[in-house]
Amino acid sequence: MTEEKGIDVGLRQFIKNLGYVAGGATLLASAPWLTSCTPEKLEEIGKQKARIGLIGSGSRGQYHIHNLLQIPHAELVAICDIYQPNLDAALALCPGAKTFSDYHKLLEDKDIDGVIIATPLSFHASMTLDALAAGKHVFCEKAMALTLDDCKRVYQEYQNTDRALFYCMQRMYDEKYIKAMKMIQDGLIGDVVGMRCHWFRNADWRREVPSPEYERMINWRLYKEYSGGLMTELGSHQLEVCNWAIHKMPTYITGLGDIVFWKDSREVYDSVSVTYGYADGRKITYESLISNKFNGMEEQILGSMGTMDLSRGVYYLEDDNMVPGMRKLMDEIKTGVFASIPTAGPSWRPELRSAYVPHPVMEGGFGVTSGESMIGAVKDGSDVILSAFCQSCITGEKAKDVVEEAYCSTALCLLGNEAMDRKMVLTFPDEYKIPYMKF
Amino acid sequence: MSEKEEYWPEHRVFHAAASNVMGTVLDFVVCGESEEKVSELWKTLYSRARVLDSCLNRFKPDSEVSRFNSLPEGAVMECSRDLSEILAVSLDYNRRTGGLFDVTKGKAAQLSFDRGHLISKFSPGVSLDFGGIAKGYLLALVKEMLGQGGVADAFVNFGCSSILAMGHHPFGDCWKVSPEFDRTVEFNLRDTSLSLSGNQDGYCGSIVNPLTGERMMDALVRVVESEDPLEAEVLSTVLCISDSQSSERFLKEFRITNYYTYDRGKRN
Ligand SMILES: NC(=O)c1ccc[n+]([C@@H]2O[C@H](COP(=O)([O-])OP(=O)(O)OC[C@H]3O[C@@H](n4cnc5c(N)ncnc54)[C@H](O)[C@@H]3O)[C@@H](O)[C@H]2O)c1
Repeated sequence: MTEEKGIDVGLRQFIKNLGYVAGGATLLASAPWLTSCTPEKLEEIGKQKARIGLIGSGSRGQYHIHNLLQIPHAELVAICDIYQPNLDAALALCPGAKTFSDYHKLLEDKDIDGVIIATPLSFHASMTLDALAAGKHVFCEKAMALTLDDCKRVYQEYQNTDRALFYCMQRMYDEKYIKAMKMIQDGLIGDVVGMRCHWFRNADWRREVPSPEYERMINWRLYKEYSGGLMTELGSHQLEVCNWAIHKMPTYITGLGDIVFWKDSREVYDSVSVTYGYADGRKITYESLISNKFNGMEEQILGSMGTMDLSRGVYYLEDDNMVPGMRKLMDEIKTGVFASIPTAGPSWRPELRSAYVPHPVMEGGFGVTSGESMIGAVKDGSDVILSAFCQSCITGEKAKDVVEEAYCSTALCLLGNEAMDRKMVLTFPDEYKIPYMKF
Repeated sequence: MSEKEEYWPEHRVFHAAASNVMGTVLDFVVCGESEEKVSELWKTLYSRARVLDSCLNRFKPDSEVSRFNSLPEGAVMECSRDLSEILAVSLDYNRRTGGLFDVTKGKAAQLSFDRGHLISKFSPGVSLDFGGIAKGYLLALVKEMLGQGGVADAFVNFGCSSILAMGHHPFGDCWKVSPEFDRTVEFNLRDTSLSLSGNQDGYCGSIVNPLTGERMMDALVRVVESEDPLEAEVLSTVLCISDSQSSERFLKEFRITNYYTYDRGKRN
């Protein structure tokens, strides 16, 4: 017990914080995937270690190595990358690991229980299928695949395998999101009437290339052969959150995508605006732009009685009955202070957003990410989901709904891209529906 | 309408709030009483406020006031005790302010009201708007309830512009209030009420002079302190539109303890 390091203790504490009691069902309703990593199950695995292989040791892969090193029930035994500098950098973090340049060879290694796939999107599907076929548990980066057909293929294979498959949608394991979702489902913000998500950055997404022949490999995000652009790279996380909030899928998809600012021979849009329409008329408004970061990253669930700002972990009530002066008075009484109570005076002002009072979804400090980093943030759930995966590599237990959520959000990203490419209103195609989806 | 209640036993402080009472928020703080007692008191007050709101709120189509406002000329309506009482008080203030306070906006003469609760209008345009008195009326009721309940220390804030301050803050000898547009001033309130009326920014103009029909657009604010919440409420509005001579007269004739005027944000 004493040698336990950060993440396990954190994971146990995290699940307890959510109100989990052994055998209780409360937690499981809003985040059923957590059933595979309860404190009791973590206890059961004792000192066993999951032997992990990493495919793709670029920036995200190395970020995962840092987290893996903190997980007591994990051991990184092998690393594979086709680009030597990234392989070397990863090996420096974990000197004992075997190295490979062909992932098929890594998959043949019987000493590996599970693999992390952190390669460009175009490789996700084939690598996942090969890894499952080789009997490995798989933790793949989002999004699920570059095409709907590949998503379907992986989804079907997952129905036939007893291996665990995770997609790194870390919000599903982020305490503030889980709490907020529970509050939404408990009716805190009334009926959900719409959703607004955006991700704004001011950066070109380019990486330095040692010589021109590496351009497409290193700057894979910019080319359609490898990447779905802003939708799969950023939107996938946020659209998952929308599905999670209301357990429904949109029927109609339309939008406009353009290259507005970074005209550097890239192929993917640097500005997207997509509207997803539900059968009942509700909508998700999705926007992303990478030449202005004023609006940052936000996921807002709009309810008839309030707004949940998931990325910031705060909610606002439409009809907030705590006027700021009264809040000050009550805070002062609590701390024994006698001071004057500010009173607004007779005035009419337009109802600006700033007039709303933010209420945090949980006590104490918690991490909020600006969304500016291309690699990932600290304590955003990525460590917890990876720990849960490593646990599954030992127990063999699948995480409920994770693949389904990845499928749904990836489908929305890809259909968003198609709607923008074709400048059309698309209807969700029947052939890509899965039983998990409710329209 | 939503409500919120909290109680801190160590300071014996109770706070409750209700939104959408007369279109604003009602905050209720009581100190030094048991939770059971004060929460019971709040329940009574809250339901009283609800009843009054459904009577006086002219934005609710089924309120009593709305029913009267859409009544054809000549038709007679029987009104509730609340409506009858607040109308009687309003008409009394109308008389005493020489017509400057008027819930009919200048058409009081075309209203027929007998205190036996029957009300009708002589012309179709007559309508009632108790916006200038309702908060004071409710605060007067609160004051009475607190007195009957033996509560000494309470702070009741009605939309930040009508305040009833009884006794004192748990860590002070009064309740201190400071308007946001003039943080240099602190009103030390004890067993008194304060009402603020006017336009802080000069772009709204909710006060109309019933004698001229003119909408007051100037950026001026009147702050009136009085032991009687009704008096404070009514006079803060009237003093926005009265000329200096009548203002002087009102200050003598009504029970006003303190009076402050602001023009374009500057205290006179
Ligand atoms: N969940 C998140 O928040 C998050 C954050 C950042 C990146 N990502 C995802 O992680 C993945 C990797 O992104 P990145 O920024 O690390 O990219 P990267 O380019 O830095 O790393 C990708 C690595 O994969 C290697 N690679 C490519 N083809 C390979 C092959 N056939 N076999 C072995 N290795 C191969 C590349 O050489 C490179 O080192 C992407 O899917 C991205 O969307 C997710």
